Amino acid sequence: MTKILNETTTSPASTPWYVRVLLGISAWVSAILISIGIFAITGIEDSLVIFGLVFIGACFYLKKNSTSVFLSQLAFAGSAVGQVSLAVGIGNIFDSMLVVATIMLVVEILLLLIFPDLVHKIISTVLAVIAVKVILVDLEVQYLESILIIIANGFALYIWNKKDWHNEQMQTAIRYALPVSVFVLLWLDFQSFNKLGFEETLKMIMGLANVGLIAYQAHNVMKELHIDIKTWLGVAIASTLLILLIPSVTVPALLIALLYVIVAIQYRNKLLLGLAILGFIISLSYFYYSLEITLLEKSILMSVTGGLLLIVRTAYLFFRKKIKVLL
Amino acid sequence: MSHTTLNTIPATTERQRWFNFLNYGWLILGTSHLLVGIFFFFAYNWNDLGDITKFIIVQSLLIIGLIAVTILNLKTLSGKILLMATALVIGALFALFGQVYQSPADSYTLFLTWAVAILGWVILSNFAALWLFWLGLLNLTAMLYWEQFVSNIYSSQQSPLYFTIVCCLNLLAFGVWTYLRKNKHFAHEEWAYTIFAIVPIGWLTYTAIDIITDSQPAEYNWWYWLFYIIVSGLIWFYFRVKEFNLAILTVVATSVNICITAWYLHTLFDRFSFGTGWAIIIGIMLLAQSMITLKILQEVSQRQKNVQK
Repeated sequence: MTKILNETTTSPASTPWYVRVLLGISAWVSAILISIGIFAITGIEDSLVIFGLVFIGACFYLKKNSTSVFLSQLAFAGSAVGQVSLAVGIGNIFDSMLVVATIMLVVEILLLLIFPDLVHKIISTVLAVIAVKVILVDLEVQYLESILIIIANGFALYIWNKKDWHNEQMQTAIRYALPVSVFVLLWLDFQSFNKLGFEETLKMIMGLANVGLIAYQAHNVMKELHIDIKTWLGVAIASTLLILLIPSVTVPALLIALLYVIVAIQYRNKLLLGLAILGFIISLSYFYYSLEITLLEKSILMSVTGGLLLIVRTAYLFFRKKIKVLL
Repeated sequence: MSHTTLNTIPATTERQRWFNFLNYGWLILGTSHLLVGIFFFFAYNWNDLGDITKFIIVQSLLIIGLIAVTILNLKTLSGKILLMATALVIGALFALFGQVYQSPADSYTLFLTWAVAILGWVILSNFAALWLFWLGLLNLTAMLYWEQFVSNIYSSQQSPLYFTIVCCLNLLAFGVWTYLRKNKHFAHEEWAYTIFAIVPIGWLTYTAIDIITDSQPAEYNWWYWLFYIIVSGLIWFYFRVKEFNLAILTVVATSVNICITAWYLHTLFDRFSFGTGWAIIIGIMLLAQSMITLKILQEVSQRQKNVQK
């Protein structure tokens, strides 16, 4: 069967993206419908764990042994259906979110290591991070999420800056998955700093740690370009970072977006730039719809931030022209 | 402040790239934050503002926009984007007019008036995004006109006829766009062209689903299926033979697949006692359809490559 399908289809690289998207949607719908059909015919609701494991195993085999674009999509979709079945099955048996999250964390890490598909690896990483969040919530220590975010950001930066990695596909997957995970975590738990408790203090520390990471990356870039912090440009960059702290106080995800914008520009990576800009826009939308500050406060924060950024630009361009340098 | 480091460094592409990023970042973030801040300020005080003040604010934005467009020139991208923003302000002005004077008119008239008012700018701009926006306004008008006016007068059996007319208008727009693109070196944006193709095919598919799910009498249907086959066939033929475009061929193939799926799903639900076990059959059908579609698109693409060689 696999052989026949492989003959009728070609590799993902030679297929336009819109055809792949359509095939992906079709593969997902088919996989879900076939699973529902199997449940209905065989009545295996009680053996969801076994069904899930068999589905994941079969899809792993399919993906490893096929080069076809359609089978790749089908294997991916089937694996996702298998994972959902497994999670629901474990939940039915143990009736504990902690057990489900812990087992799924192990499964996702395993899939990240062995499943030979980049997008699958990215989703496994994101799901693993979400599983950690669920564990923290279940243990009622969700404030430790701030530390999880710092670790995820720090590790993402390390992986982006690291030149050689033994597994290129894994490195690429983690490079994209960790920024996405951090955004998801922050948006799932969108809160401001207007209360002063232990959790808020940890969030403050997270904010400062992220400022530190941005400063570190900006320092790296300036070092590469031989830009001294004492120059007009150095001052302009430092001022910009400080100004952007104003809206970030209410929405920490803005800082994370800024960090990844810098990394994306540094490594000329359009996909990461797109993710970071999307993260920035969604975070700003959270700011607009935040009910914790009034429209007037938002208006003042936005106007001051915008005005200051335009002043920095004007001042820098003025001095740049005066001292006749390119940058 | 030390200037020496900067002065002694030679200009490089990398530095220019970072400068462009900083320059645009400052400009885009600064302007957008400032504008949103100003909008929020007015929104905060909106209910306390008098009607005249509200009109002065919106009309001032319109005048400022037009002055800026004149200064920037419609040949620049910034000028075109600004004209599009000013076209949006026109809509805000009409909406404000309706709000202040509590007009009893149906809401489709707002979009129709808006489309008519900005038509001159749309033609002058030669900007694909503004053309698409204008087409969107017309389609919205058509939908609202159906909901608020036509559906109250005529029976639902006449809906295919109405939607077919809307589809024909969109086909006309697509045809004109194709002609201008080919003969007048106009409207080169590929993405806009594909969207222009998706809109009429979308209406074609929507009407087909409407006919399938409404189970209307055969006398109302045969002419539509004939129309569907002729239009899809012509689009397929044109973009397969005359001007090869795989994206548009994929849209046509998707439309046919959606109609087939809608037909057998409706038949299953309508004529048989539908159990969850059927899901496995539907899943397999979808797999088969996807493989056949992919095979056809690949063959078409391969033949085109062979012709080009």
